[in-house]
Amino acid sequence: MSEGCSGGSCSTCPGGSGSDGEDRLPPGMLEHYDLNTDTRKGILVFIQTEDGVPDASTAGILTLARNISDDRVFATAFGGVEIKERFKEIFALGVDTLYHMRNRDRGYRPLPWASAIMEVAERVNAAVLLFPDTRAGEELASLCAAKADAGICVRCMDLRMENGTMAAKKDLDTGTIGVRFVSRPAVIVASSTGLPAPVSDPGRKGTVINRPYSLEE
Amino acid sequence: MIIIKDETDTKEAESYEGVRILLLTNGNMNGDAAGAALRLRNITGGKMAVAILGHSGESLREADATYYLDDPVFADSDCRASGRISVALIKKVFPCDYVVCGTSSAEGSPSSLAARIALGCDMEPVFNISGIDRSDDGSLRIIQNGTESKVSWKAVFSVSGGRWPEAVAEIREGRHLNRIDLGLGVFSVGAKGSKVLISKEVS
Repeated sequence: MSEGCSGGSCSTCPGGSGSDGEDRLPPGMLEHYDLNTDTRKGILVFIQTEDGVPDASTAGILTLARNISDDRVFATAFGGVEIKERFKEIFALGVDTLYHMRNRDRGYRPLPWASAIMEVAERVNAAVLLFPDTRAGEELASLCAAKADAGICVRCMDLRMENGTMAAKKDLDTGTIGVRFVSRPAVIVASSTGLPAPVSDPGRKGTVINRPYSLEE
Repeated sequence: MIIIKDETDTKEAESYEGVRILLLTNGNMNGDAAGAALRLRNITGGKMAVAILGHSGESLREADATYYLDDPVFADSDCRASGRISVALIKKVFPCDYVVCGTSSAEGSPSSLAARIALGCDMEPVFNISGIDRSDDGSLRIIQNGTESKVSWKAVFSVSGGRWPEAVAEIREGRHLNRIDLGLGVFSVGAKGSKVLISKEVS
């Protein structure tokens, strides 16, 4: 290996790229690329609705997502045409892209819904999956974390990004614990207490993607 | 505290060919989960084992077998690592038809552990039940969020409220299982196998 080469990609290295390695990087370029870096970015929020009306914690959850996101904020909302009336409200709260999940069967089905959310999460390469502190939110978060083999924190507060990883606190009967995710995606059920005050910008625009989902798991 | 030492016949429970029920708990027995497991045992007439995530803790008087998932490397396991330990127990030691989750790691919830076990053991996850009964066709009928539905054979339950038979918590002798017994690697359990690190902040 020649002086100044740290990547083994110059022509003097055994098997180096000087003669026949057309598929290799130019000399010295390896040190510019950290191939082990997680490329996941942005937050995917589950918006729970009942007959087209978002859950009471939705505004706080979306504001929280906007505050902590290092990239775009995505959201999923399951339902029919009644959801359309809420698009402006959802975008005003900070969502960039809303996935409107549609199926003829409007009933809540945890496994197909979790599969559909995970398909979107993989598609947008989300770093954080954020769920409201509701029964459905906790169930879907549990299933998504299991499907993604990801870490989960249920009912956590004080969410923040620290050195590129999510950190939070959780109150237990015995005291408060600190939680730090060591990998992405992080699946989080945000406690309904301690959510930020909603910040709405009525002029914000966003994109809606209609996405049918299957009831087959 | 009265300590009753009772040698439960784990081998008999492990070789039993009828319905088998597993209650997952930690040192402190969750009354609702224990009651749900007991209700399942009464309905199905099966054998019930209690698995305690820790080196000591309360089992149930009605338990046919007690396991202590007891290994220093299990410490600081998050929900993912706890799920692996539970799945290994079910696959290697006590294959069962129904699991009742009465515990979780500090950052998770019984439902999050139930989901891991369900996906790991190819069982149906059934969350937040508040009642179980037998329906006319012999299948199980559960109450979830005030509505009734049926569940398949092989299901994992988490429990939320409801009226259950009173189970009597008791210190029992049981079989202690470590990482080797469960066939788990060092890097798949404890903090090394976790994706969430937990630190005590305020006592």
